Amino acid sequence: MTPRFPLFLYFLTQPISMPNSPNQTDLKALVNALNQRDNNIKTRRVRIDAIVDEDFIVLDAVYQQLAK
Amino acid sequence: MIDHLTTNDIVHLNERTIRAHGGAFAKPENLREEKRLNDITDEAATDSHLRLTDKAAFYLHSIITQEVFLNATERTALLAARTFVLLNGGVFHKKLKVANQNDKKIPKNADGNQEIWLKLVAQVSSGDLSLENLREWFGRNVSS
Repeated sequence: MTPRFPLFLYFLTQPISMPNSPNQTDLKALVNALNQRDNNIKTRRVRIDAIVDEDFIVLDAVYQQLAK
Repeated sequence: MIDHLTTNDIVHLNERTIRAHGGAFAKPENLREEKRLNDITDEAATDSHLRLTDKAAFYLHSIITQEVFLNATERTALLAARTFVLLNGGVFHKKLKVANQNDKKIPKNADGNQEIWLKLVAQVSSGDLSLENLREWFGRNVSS
């Protein structure tokens, strides 16, 4: 809804987010979840790279042949 | 729960084999058309391909037949199928075997592990092996 009084008064009447307010807690949880997801993606990529490294040794001749 | 390969994973595999075995990687993703690979990764995750080995067969077959990459498509298809199996705890048999399906050898004229892999890839490329044939072969050569 559009405020019918000056904009600065509108903001003054809005609740201010305090350090331990629910909004702040939600934000921290979101940041933690995103960091966790980022770590999971990195860990998974390390696993894939380890599999690839070994596969390049086991099937080196096959990959070399396919590259010709 | 099965860990499916993403589009980013498969592009990464393409870049890895090009760096290791040669070829050109056209940035940003070396793809002919991004939609083709997105469709493949989406379909692999559906119930149309239930078993681990069915999904591996699908990665190998579809990446090759849809010519997903500008370069190194066959190598990437092989690497994707193998990486997918190993990532999910599957094990390829030490001595790979030619499979039989309706009196058809899969692959034909191959003996020994290296030749079997090469012939599988070549015969998918030439259209001699179908997805059903590859499903049969992976089912016979992978323990999961």
